[in-house]
Amino acid sequence: MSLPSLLGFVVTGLQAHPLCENVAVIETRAFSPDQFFLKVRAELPDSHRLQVRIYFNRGHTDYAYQLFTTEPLLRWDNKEEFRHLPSFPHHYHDDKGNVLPSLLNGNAIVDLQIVLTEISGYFLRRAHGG
Amino acid sequence: MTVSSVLEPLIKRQLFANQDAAVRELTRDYILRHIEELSKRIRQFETQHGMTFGRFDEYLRERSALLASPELDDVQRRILGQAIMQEEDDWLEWKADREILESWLGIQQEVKN
Repeated sequence: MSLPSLLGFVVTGLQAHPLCENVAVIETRAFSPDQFFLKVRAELPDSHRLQVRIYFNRGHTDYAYQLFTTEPLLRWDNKEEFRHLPSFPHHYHDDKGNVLPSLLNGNAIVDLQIVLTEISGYFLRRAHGG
Repeated sequence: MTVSSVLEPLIKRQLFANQDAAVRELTRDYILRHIEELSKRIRQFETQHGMTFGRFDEYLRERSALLASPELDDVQRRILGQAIMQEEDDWLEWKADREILESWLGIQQEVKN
């Protein structure tokens, strides 16, 4: 997937979600069609923000989806740590400091929807005092 | 608009000897601009964290191992978890900057040869 098509997909996916507002492309950096980086942010309720970072380099993808306010809250990424997890290298940081298996697999088309579903759950739990 | 029409005003004013010289120098400048910008960002990461990328990678590995250990209480785990999330963000951008810089340095070498 090229930078324009991936960027278009991420921006459209965020814009289409009811929790997301004011989607902004913060940064793109491209060397070639198979080596590029993008950073996109969306505003969510109660001063929350979701940041999507994807770095694609010749078939390898590094990604991070992070929900934050003034501090990081939830994060999905595939930095190669936490080898004990069955989903290695894909993992999920919760807001209590736990690192857990992740359903993401580096395919942004699938991953973004999973992240948005998980974040919807986070807001629901928050609304119910969980 | 052709290459000639773009370069003509520069050549007419003797800023470049000819089209070949202009294209060569402008291409080198373009590559150098990317190299300088990425090098600057990498230096900023090195200053911010007080270490090289290689050391930062090791440091983050140690911190991640600590986070996975059962020795932390709930507050320590939450604080360390938040710090690691932030550091992993820097790691990703730093890594991308380094690898994209390597690519620009490679093309700079190709243009020189």
